[in-house]
Amino acid sequence: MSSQERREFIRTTSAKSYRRRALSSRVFTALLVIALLIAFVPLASILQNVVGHGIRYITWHFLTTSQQLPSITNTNGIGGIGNALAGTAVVDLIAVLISIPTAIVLAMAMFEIKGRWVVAVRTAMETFIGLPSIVFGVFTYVSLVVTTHQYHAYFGSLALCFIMIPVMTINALAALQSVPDTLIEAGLSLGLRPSRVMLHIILPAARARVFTGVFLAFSRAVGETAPILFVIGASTLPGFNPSGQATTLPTLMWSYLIGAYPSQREACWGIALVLMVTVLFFNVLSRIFVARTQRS
Amino acid sequence: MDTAETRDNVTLGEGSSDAVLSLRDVSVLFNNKAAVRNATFDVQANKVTSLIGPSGSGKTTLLRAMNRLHELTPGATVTGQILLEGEDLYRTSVPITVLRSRIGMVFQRPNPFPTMSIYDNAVAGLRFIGVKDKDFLEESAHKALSEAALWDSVKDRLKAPAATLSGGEQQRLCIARAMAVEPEVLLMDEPTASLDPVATKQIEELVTVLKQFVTIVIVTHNMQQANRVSDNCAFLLMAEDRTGELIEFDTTEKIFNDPKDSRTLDYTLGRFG
Repeated sequence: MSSQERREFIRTTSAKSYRRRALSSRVFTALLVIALLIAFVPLASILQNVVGHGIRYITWHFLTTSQQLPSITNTNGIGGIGNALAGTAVVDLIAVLISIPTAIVLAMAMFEIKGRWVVAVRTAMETFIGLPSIVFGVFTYVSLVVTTHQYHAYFGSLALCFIMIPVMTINALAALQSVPDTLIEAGLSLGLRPSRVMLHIILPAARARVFTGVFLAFSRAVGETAPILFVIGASTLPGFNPSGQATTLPTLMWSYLIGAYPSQREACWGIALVLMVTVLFFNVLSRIFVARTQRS
Repeated sequence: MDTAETRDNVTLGEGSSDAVLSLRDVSVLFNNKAAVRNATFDVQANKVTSLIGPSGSGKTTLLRAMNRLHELTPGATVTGQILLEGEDLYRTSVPITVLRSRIGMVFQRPNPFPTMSIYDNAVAGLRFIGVKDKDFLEESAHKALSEAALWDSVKDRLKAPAATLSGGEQQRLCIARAMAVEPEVLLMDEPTASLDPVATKQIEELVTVLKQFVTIVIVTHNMQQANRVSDNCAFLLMAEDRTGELIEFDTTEKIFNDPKDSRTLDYTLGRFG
């Protein structure tokens, strides 16, 4: 076959197969759109329900006053969620303050040490991520509440740390490992100590991805009920004392769902909306933050 | 190294009949900011056309516009015309995937498909196009690998992973992969940038042989390389506003020995860049 004949043959084959390829491309595009819709419809329906039912609760009064027990004469008098917002802020803030440094230090250690030990820790953490969160609730309850006979807001924070630290660490480790070796070598070749290279070259280069993991973990933790339910007690007063008892948005929702009054169950929509907006807010914040970090 | 005889017969500029690829007033813009502006020249059949110029002059951008690869960058647009045998690449009804199979490309770093064998790499384009005939595929692999001067060293290990080859061999495999679909034009973006001098020399020799089968456009940082391998040469330079401009297009001999523009002379003499 001459070169020209070969070219002709290839062009004809290509043209013939193009129609089939274009068709299968369209078919698969259609399948993807359908898959997208299947994924999107439940999501949209949840969103519509939560916003539709919850929006009427979003008032200054609801957000700032504490919960009240409805009475026979005023079955709708459930007050607001001010105490739960305060509790959420305290429990989550302490959890974040503990878990961020712990996770970053752990990730740095795992990055530097390498070897079989690290593989074991990593596997353990990945298993932790997969565990149902109630396991951490029971563990914290047995090890803290049962031994001290007390409920504290910070017990809840510790329980949340079990959820956040593995997610953050695994993410941060992946972020550190994504830093090109050439950067590390450039640092070492300047005579920098490995610790300097870590703090001044690797960590800054990886920070955007590290923070993505932090926000991801936080978003997960903020909506958790099971790990904190047994350990923080409950508080109908808005308090920011970590060693006091506390109610958080998810635990309030839980107690309202099993509550006796329809007005309480109805108010769960409002709490759900507040939770959703909180998570959304932090996700948007993290996107902006990551975009900024990457630009600079 | 003197191919002056062939160069003397070259007719340049608009309207030359043997142009495979014609650029007419081509500008490439990213988010409405021009990266290259108003380039007009003809790429002649079975000749090597080199694009030279300092960094930022838009050589690679222009090259990537020739098979619409630059469209992968969001916000990229092209104005003017790029004609492949008279057909405007940007206004044709022919699908982009079909067009690209007629204009092959070789990149700065060898990029054989890592999970495929040498043989599978060589015939990858044909298989994707829909060629199933085993004999045809084998013949194509033989032909393409021979054209890429790789056949003799790989014929006994065609089933070995492509990653087992050296850098220079990998690049020649990429050339074979591009040649196997019998393109009309082969675009080469600094194909020797990551290779040692010996491998570079082999690729250069290959380029001068390959032009009997395919029209070649090559971007190079290396002026000696442009001088050695190309018949025609486009010299680009970054203007004050940081946009690349075509300063001069002529036979390589003219560009290097008797350029019209003093900036071309300064560059080819190594006074800057």
